[in-house]
Amino acid sequence: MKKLFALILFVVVSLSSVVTVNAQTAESLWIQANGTSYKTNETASIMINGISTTPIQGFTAQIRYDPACLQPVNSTSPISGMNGLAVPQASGLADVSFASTTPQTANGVLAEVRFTALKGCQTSLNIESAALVVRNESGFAVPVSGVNINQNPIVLNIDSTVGTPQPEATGESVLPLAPTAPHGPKHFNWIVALSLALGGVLIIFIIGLFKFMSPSEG
Amino acid sequence: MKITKKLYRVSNRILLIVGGALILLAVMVASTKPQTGSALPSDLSSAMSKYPSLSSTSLNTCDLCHTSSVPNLNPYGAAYKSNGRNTAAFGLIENLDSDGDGFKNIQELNSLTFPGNPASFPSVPTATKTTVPVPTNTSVPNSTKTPIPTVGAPSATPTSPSNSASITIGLAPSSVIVGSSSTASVSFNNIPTGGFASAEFTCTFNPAVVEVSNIATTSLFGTDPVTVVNGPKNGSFIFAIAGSNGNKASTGGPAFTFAAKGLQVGQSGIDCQPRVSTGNLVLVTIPSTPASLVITTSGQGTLTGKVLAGKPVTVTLYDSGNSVAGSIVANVDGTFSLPGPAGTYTAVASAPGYLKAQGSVNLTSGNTTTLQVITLPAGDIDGNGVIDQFDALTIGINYNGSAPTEADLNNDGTINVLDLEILARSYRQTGPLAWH
Repeated sequence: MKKLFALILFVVVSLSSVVTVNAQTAESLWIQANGTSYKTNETASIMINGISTTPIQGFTAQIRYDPACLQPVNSTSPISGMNGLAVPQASGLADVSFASTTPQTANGVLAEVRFTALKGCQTSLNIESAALVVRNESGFAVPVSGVNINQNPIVLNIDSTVGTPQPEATGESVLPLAPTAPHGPKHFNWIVALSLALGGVLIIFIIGLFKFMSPSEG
Repeated sequence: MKITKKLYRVSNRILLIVGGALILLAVMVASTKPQTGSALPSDLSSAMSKYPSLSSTSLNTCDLCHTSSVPNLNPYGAAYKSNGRNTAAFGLIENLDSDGDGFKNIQELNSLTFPGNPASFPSVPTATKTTVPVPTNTSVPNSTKTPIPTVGAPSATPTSPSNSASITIGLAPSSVIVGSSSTASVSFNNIPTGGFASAEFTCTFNPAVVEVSNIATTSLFGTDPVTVVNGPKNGSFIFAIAGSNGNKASTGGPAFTFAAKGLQVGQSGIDCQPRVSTGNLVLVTIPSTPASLVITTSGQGTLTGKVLAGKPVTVTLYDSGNSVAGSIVANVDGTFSLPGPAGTYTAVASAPGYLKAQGSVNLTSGNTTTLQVITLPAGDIDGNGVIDQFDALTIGINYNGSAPTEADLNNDGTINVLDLEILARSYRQTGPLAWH
């Protein structure tokens, strides 16, 4: 009886595994994390994975994240010839796009996206939109149709304990993902100058005051 | 007590030095320019203010005026500097060929090539490089004959960069119906002290749609000037005028007028290239601003405006049934004049790779309707009405190529990072823009 139960359990587990694999063997795109637990300041790596039966010339993924918990750093692609396209980044949405001038086989990791854990929190990331891209007859980039995009969120637990960030990514195409920094005040120089000038005038005023209150020379 | 006094004096001096140093530092900080961006952003701003259509092209960089070794100036930058280094200076050097490549600075700017780099020049001859048809010289006295210049070619005629004189061609009205005439006035502006003793104008027009007649002088060169008219023939004529008895043109105003009659529906540019002499027997070329005459039929109105983009702009009128009622390619400076039957239309301005602008217009018979000046954002390469990642990807997958031409946003013949930079400026913008 135990053997029969074990056999049934084995068949069920095997079938469910096959079903899971089949879901990813169609043209598909999904993200996964290298780990689910990080310390503050550590680098969380999110992999953009894809499977395509036809060679692609690019891919794009917009990953929603919580800017209070995570700070996007950059992205690299392990596929030779896939170059990152630097476009303006909005806070809370990492816009990752890579392109190649020649068709490339896409099976597995398409890109690694790095985030810095900012503070102790539980947060999630998910694909908001994504596409595998081919070049149409007119030369335009168009999405591959029928791609299954898994938009299920990935949950990350970030501990408030301070850890060590991963070394900077290097490679032939590092795509920076930091959101565009807000512009500083236009008149910063003048504010500093005015402060310094006021400081100078104050000191001269103090000197005058000293002289006024000083003992007479005679 | 002596020690106290000495300490007081020493501290007094230290405070004085520190105070003075702080004020000096304040002056230095205040005069420091931000380190980001161009070394001389005000000059580039002046250039873009003068030529707004260049703002989203590769000419909107330091390379416009500098060599690759900034801050060294290229010939165009040097000419700009020597002419006052302000917005007006760009106008003064338009008709120079600073880099000596055979194309005037203005021609290079219009063709989006660098006027200070001899290796950068328009790849195809522009319309203005065509030789003006040479009229017969039968009526021109031999003693006053001068070579007729080839418009746009390297000029052997000396130019005077410091001279801000120019001419303007005015048309009243600027739109006529077939069979009626407009009066063209060719006027001097900013005549220098000392005046002009003589002037020669080589005027051109489209003879298929315009007929020129009644060329008449004014009293600008005195009450009894000597004039010579050659033509009109084959779309051009020469008008030469010289003041008699020492009379000179010393103030601005019309030098001569002529009638331009509309022959058929269409549009004709009317230009007069002037050369002037101050009395030293040397002819100097000065800039001119051409005019455009629109010829319509009775019951037609005209739509005018200005659309800026780094690529040629097409303006199209759609009627209520969404059929094309008229279409025209805007001039290089973005201006256009589009005739159409009286009625209500949707006007659409488009350029390859740019978001469109769209607005409702009402044309009334015999009148001109003007739409606001508008700049089309660059980057909608696939024409789906939004500048998005697929437009960026089209640049990426065609990197260093030349097609599709929609991806070559700066029109320099190569799809590269400069196009991506232009796209990034308007990333996530959607169209069409509202056009009023």
